[in-house]
Amino acid sequence: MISRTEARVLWFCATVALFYLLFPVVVVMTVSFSSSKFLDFPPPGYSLQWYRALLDEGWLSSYWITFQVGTLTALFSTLVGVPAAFALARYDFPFRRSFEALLLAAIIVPPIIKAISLYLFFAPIGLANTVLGLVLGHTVTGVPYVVINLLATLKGYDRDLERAAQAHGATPLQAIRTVTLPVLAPSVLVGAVFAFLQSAQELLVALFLLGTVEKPLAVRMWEGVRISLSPTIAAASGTLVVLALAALAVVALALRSRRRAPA
Amino acid sequence: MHDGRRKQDATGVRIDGVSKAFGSRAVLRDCSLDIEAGTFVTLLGASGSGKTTLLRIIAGFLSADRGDILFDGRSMRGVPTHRRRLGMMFQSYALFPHMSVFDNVAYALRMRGDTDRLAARVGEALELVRLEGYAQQRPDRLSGGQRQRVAMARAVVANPPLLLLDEPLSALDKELREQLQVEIKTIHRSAGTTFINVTHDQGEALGMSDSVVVMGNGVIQQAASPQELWNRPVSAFVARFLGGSNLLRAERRGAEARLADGTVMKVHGPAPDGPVELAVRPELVTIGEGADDGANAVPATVRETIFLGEAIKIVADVAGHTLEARVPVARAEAARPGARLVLRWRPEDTLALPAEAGGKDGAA
Ligand SMILES: Nc1ncnc2c1ncn2[C@@H]1O[C@H](COP(=O)(O)OP(=O)(O)O)[C@@H](O)[C@H]1O
Ligand SMILES: [Mg+2]
Repeated sequence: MISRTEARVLWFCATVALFYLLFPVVVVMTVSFSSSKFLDFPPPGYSLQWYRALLDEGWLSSYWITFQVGTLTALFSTLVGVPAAFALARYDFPFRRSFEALLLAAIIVPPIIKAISLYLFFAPIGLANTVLGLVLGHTVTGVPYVVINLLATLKGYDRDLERAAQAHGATPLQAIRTVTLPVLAPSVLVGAVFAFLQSAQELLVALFLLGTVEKPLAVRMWEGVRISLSPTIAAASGTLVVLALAALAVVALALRSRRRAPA
Repeated sequence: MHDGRRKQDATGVRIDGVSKAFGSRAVLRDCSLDIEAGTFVTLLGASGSGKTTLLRIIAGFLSADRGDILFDGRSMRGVPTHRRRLGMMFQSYALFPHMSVFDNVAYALRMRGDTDRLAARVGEALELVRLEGYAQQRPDRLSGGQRQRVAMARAVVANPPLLLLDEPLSALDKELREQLQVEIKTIHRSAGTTFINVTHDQGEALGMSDSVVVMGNGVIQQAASPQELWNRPVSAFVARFLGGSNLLRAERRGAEARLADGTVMKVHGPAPDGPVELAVRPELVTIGEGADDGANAVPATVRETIFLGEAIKIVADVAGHTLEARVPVARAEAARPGARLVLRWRPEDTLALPAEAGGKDGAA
């Protein structure tokens, strides 16, 4: 039990933290509905003009590229990450722990280093300036998200579920298809959503690997900010916030169904 | 006990010299056992004694390092689990969390492509475990006892000739456990198939089984009927594990054994001459001088008395050992803490058993 004073202090701290985290988002969202031509805050009035501008100024192609790259990244990350997580959770092999550490490293390596080294690696083999090249680049960071999410669940996963399936007539493959995968699907989905989101918001690798030919959303926004600080950027940010909220909802739903699985 | 018609769809299991080690740790050493078709056999042993490992080898989840498993005389080497015609219950129940109760039970039929009258048979299985109204529930909505029953229904719905039960009751509270023991026994009787159960609970093993297999230190210590095991344990290990017996260290010479303080008593039992442990059941000990009927009689000092309802438990010091007696209340008037009296028991109730290395005195 916590005392009433402690509860108040906790409530206060949580509110401050939440405000600190959400304030910039609220500002951007507000400005995106501004009727002004500039980034005034608070806006003098409200309109949808900047969202209309997104359509007029050819941003749609950027959304399309980002969607393509993000979806393929999520797909590739899942295809590589799921078997990798199974291997890490279920088999002991030399350097297993090093592999786990290496996966974390793939997340925390400074993006600029990743961008330059991927460019140097991809340019000679013709992957620079291609959508596939950027997808592969983002998959490097996407795989660890999938693996780490699934690994946590796999470590607590009751192997007796698979044994029960086999004892009652399922082949090993049927057991995985009818029991293991459906039970783990929420965790895989969460990992894939993270992989998509990190791809959608990533700038540096996108700039190096695709930015000179096509403009994914992040690159387009970056260039927009450099040239003119128009509220169109705020509107684009607004759509990204909505995307993140949608992803959050998916994750929350997935986690809820995962919690239903008995430990 | 089982009629002939049923017997033909029960699996007879032979465990033939099975050994299994994990790394350098030998978990099973040369275990052999014959399980007659249609019997209820319980593997009884402390946690870590290899019961689950043996059950997994029977199920085909693990392969033995040496030895073989035979079903009805046929080697199971190379036969995968899903072709062994099993039902199985797990300690954690292992219900599929993403499926309804109905689908959990139906799973055992669908995976075998045995879908004739599927709904009716699932319904019958749920009726058997008294869960008729729960078909559409998710397992996470059920209580522990209900989950256990769903697991039971899934295990028996396809009428498997062999059912494996790995501590299916250990997660339940005492009352529910005793109730489900009866239900499982009833299901076994009506199915007439072979049940191999695993538990660390002596009471459950003795109460439910046709035959109990005591496991310890990686070997089968004794396999016998509950009565035989209770009355004639073959070693101090078994007597100690079953619990309740007094165990006194002694040195045997022929029909006599000498305790450390020089007391001599007449003994029976399988142990050869040399160091032994004498097992004496508390309920076979009486108080009083009595006639010279050839009983073992030793002077004792009462340390404590404990009222048990129908009897009184007397804890006494005897020849440097602690001894327990269980005496009807009417016969225990003389027993007061500090009282000196004579405790007697018959030579044929004094079992000389091979001593267990590092064994201790006193009631187990
Ligand atoms: N897969 C495994 N790898 C290594 N050791 C194991 C494995 N399975 C069981 N063991 C060990 O084997 C011993 C017996 O285990 P188990 O058969 O589960 O015992 P019980 O079911 O009687 O409690 C234990 O010491 C356990 O730690
Ligand atoms: Mg076990």
